[in-house]
Amino acid sequence: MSESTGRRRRRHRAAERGASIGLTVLASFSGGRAGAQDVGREGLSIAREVDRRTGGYEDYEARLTMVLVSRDGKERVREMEVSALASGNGERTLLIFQSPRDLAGTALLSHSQVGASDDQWLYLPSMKRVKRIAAAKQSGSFMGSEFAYEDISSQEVGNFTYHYEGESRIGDTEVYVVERFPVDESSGYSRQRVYVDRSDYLPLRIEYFDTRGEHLKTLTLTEYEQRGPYWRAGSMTMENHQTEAVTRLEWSDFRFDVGLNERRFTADGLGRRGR
Amino acid sequence: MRGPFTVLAAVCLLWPASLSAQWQASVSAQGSAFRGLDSGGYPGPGPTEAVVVLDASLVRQWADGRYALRATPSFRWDPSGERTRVDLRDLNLSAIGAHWEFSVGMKEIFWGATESRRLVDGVNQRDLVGGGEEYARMGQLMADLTVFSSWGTIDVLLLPWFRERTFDGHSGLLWSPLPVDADRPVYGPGARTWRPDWAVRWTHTLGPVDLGLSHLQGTLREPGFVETASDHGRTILAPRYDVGGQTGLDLQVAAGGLIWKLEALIAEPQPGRYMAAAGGIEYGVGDFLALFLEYAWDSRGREATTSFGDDVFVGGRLFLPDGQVNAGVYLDRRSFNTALSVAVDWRVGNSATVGLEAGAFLGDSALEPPLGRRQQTRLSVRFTRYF
Repeated sequence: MSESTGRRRRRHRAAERGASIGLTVLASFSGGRAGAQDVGREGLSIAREVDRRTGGYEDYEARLTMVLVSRDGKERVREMEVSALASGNGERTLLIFQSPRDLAGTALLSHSQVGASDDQWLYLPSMKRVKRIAAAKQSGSFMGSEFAYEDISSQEVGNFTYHYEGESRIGDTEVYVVERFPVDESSGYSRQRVYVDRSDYLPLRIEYFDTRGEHLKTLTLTEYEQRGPYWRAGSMTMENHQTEAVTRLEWSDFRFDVGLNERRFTADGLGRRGR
Repeated sequence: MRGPFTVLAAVCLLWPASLSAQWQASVSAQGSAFRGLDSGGYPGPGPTEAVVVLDASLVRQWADGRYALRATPSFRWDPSGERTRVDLRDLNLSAIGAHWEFSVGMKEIFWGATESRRLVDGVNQRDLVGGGEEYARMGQLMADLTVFSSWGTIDVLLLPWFRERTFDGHSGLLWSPLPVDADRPVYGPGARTWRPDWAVRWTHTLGPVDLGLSHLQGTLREPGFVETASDHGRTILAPRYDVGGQTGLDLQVAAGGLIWKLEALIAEPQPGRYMAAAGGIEYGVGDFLALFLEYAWDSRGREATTSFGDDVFVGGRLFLPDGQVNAGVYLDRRSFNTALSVAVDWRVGNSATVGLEAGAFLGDSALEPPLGRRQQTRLSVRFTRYF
């Protein structure tokens, strides 16, 4: 891809869509309809500022450790390599498991497109077999964790409308509080309350309210790091208040815009990976 | 078997020091018990089997991923000696370009879509294990050129070396009481071990549709059987391998929470020609349960080399935080004969699993095709340690 095409695509995408799996929770403000009210406009402009700092890349690679903590404190650890590629007005993501060891080499490929249901494939290394799988519901659990697919999959233009709630504090940090409302009726949420650091426009906390309006989950984002022009939370902790289970996502070794090959993100390429 | 050993030893010795991040291995011990069989007076396998399997996988890429070396050795040890085997499922070198890939060596590839049958998967010879349609595959010597383009992926395979199917132990039994003697194969006209067989495959993914079309020309991997006399003058079945063509179609379509699946095969060994198909749906319940409903058909009827020539298959796969449960039932549409299986895999710690598998056949075995694989009532326990 030429540099100018890349820049064009990047600008186009930054305006059209948020970022990507696991990261979109940070960047999912892109787009959205500005309401006539000032609170709507104010909420949207904060969302855009967040997106400017966290979104807009072509691709990335990272390592992800997922720790599932059950109500009785039992921990289960999943380690995986994550890579993602912007594609048209959607995104392609690839997860390759490393641990538990019996799952090592198992890979999950997802293609998400604005306005269409996801396509997903599973690669089973013991059979060297690629299987298409039924795409999970947006509100369904992501690999048995407290994260729903819609919490971590790439988010779409106009996925939310916004409402600026005012200023508040988390500890010593001054934050803006913005409520956002999913446009998609299949969402598992009625609203989400986002706390954005006033000084650097990075989200620190998101509270999720279920369709009955009950406070379901709280996401806490910490250990922000800058990689090139992009800011990333190194740690994301999702606490489910109704089940008391917790999922921790620990990200490391982020690499952005490494020029990943599109073929790696195809069902066919999944079966040809070098492992 | 010395050949693969030597090559493998050479690979291990020459393997670069950066091996650590790129290998994985497992060792697995399995014991199985089978319900007493009527062997019809023929000597058959005993009521129990034990096996230890060592699998490893090594991958190295260099020159920025433009070249790759892959090795997947497999070693199976049977205390009784009968099923001991060394194989190289992979030992191949690949060159990878922007729109093409070329690899040469031993290689294992999978083609197919359905749960109930594996019809299209015809390049690698099968190494039968377990019950149902289960099998492992043996490495196939090939040169494989792949071209990627916007209208799909084309694979052209040159397959110079033919391998015979294994018929060891219980998994190699047919419904016929006659034993199969894999050491006395019969080759039809033109069929032989070294022969320039070839295959082509086109695959394409278009949104919710995965489509594959393939053709193989050469010595077909699926044998027929002929009655012949053993050295001791007894009647046995000898596998018969014939030259021919086989054309396959595999299709997966996602629609509204369902995956529609189809595999169809036309095989033309000389003499004879048959068709087989399997298809149905997969339904996902959340992300923890997949349910399958399929129908499998084979044009050969009583002459089929499968037990599943006119069968409905119902199955399910349950994903749990520490394991997986698979269950399936084949129900013959005419005889109502039933083959059931349940397999549980449970994770112990981070690098071990325990597996329990049970199978049962209910019905009248006289109604099954004599040359089909025998479905047995059995129980297996397996422990696997991963490295």
